[in-house]
Amino acid sequence: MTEMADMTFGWLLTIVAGGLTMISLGIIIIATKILKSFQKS
Amino acid sequence: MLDVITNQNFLYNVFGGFTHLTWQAIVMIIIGGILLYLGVAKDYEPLLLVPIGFGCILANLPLTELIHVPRELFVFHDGVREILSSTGLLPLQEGVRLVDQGILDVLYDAGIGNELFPCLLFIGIGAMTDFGPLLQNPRILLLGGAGQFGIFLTLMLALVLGYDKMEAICIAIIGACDGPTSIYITSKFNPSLLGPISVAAYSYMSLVPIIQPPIMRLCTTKKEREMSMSYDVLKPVTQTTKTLFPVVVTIITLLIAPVGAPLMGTLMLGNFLRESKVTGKLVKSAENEIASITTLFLGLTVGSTMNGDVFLTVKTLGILALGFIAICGDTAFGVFGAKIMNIFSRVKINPLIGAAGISAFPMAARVVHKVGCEANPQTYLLMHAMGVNTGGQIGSVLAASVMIAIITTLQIMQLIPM
Repeated sequence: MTEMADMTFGWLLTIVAGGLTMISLGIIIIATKILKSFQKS
Repeated sequence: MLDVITNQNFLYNVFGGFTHLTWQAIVMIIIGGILLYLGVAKDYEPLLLVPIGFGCILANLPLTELIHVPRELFVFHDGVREILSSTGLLPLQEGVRLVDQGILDVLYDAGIGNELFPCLLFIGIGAMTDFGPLLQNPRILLLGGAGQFGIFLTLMLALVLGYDKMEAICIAIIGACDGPTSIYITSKFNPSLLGPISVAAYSYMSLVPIIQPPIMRLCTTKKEREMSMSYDVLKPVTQTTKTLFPVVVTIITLLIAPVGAPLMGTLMLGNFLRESKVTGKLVKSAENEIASITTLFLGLTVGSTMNGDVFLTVKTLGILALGFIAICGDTAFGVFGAKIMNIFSRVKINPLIGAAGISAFPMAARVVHKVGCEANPQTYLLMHAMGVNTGGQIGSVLAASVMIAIITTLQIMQLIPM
């Protein structure tokens, strides 16, 4: 395959890595809330 | 006897330190001295800057042969000469020297080249971190993610300025504001930048109390800074939740980015040891002996990679400038992240706490609290900021893990160089 252009690489990493980081944090928040809901019951 | 000691060859080697001293070595010894001064006299991250500074001086004194950088120009002599000769690989390619290993070469191979030292440090960091304030108000974990966007800003800037992809990644990761993560990523993708990246990462981390407040004031109005935050939203969590949290985070994050296991796995292992409450001895070792020994070896080895030929370049100046932008960007993105959260949230938060969404713990949280108190002495932001700060630790490691996963995949697809 042809090597990716520098700025394409930058945008790809920014959008995918940034997005995936935030989504992962969102999943951790949901999991934490589920954990906490067990402690209430 | 006089013939021997006045022989040019004798003098050249016995007093070789003087005859081989270059201007680059002198400048680097001065830089090492400055790092020692900052650590000892100014108390800026002394645990790191002192070994780095001393390592820098050791490595730049001529003929000490303690470490050989850049590493790709050396092959070590531990029995390989015979093997290389028998396979017809000797003489080596032009410019490559066959040498004996120095003691810092051994340390480099033992813990930097294979990324072991940053991971050992993460066990200690995990053992020292209390995620309690974060668990009391989990949604602030998002601010730990927002605070990482300085990484991506810096990545784009570095690429625009002409750094190649792997260099840009290593420079951008300074924005994680996390020394071990920066060292891990740089060791993995571009070890030749280890010296300047580590110095930038640790220097800016220690300068957080100076760098952050002006950015925080610039990004907020006085009214926003004065906002008080209620502690009613912080509901106590049980020990079971605190114990299960590192396990849950490990499973979730490593399902998403398995190659981040060395970072997230060790951080969460350390925290699980702490919260399980049954491994007191291991926790004590992790946060004291292991962390101290690793810090010493890591600092010394990283400092010794600061060879004048590699360090004294325009590239290094660019790295220091971009690292500064990264930390400023993190602060601004964190504050704006908090403002965006306020748009969608019923319970408003003081935007200042977003600035704590970096990995410099607990310094960033203290800075936020201080700036908040200056605006409104009645406000007490410390525990909220601590929560965001621990979120920043998870956020930085997570962002690094995701980036490693993506870069590794792109390398496998041959879209970027190995």
